Amino acid sequence: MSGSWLPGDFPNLSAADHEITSAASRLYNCIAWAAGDTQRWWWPDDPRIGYGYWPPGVVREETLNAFIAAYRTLNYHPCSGPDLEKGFEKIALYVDLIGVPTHAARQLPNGYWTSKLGDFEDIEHKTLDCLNGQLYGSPVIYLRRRRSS
Amino acid sequence: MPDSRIDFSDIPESTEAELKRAVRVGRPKIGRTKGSAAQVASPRNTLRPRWDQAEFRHLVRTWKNERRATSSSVMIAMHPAYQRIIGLGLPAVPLILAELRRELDHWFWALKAITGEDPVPPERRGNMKEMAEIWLEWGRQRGYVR
Repeated sequence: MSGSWLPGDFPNLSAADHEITSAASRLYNCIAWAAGDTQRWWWPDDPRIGYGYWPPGVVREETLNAFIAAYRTLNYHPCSGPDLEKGFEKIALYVDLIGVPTHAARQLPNGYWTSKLGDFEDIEHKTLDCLNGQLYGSPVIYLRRRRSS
Repeated sequence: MPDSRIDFSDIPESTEAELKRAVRVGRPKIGRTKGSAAQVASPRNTLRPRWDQAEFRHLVRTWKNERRATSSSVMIAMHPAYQRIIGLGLPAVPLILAELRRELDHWFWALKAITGEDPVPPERRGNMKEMAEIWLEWGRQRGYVR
């Protein structure tokens, strides 16, 4: 089964790399999905014109620091890398060529990653790099928190 | 400076024939203003769309078909077709609300931009279903949604 996204969005994503794990939905996006929220569209847009949810008290700007601060409200903190660590769940943050955050992926207990692709489907993907490209850029920072038992 | 103090001595006086051919400029002293400029500015013409529903639907299709897999509401709203829909102005609001009722989508930016209103309270921001319901109710109250 192929996803609803435009083929050119993920030139490095092969059928062997991923599995679609949900139907397409406009209720939530990747930032929300990584945070465990399937009811809201998270984005730090200007509230005078935008409509995204952003955690109260966190600066609403499209910067890596603002995204890190948003996940900090859920007890995620920067860590050294994406490797699977027992007892921790991790989030990888992607930025584009000019450093604007574009995507968040959450690590699964098996070491694979789960991503919501815009307002299309959720996928489980084996590596972070398979989403690299012009649209998402590449992952640049990793956050972790203790996995709840 | 009053006209009486301006030196017009180097400007030759107009002949009778030239004065007859001349066109008055500025606002008439009596009577109602006529002319194309006044008609363009009338409320009736301001609200009359210079586009048809087919153009609106074409823009909607283009925006949806060219949607990237992005989470950025900014990127979604900056699509050229979406920007052109905003440019259609107030007459597009009933069509946008009908689209929103037909299929949940990212219409909130356009609705805010066109109407200058935001009926969504901050605590509901981001909840796509609730925002849609609030905007549809806003439209019903104003007669935009049947």
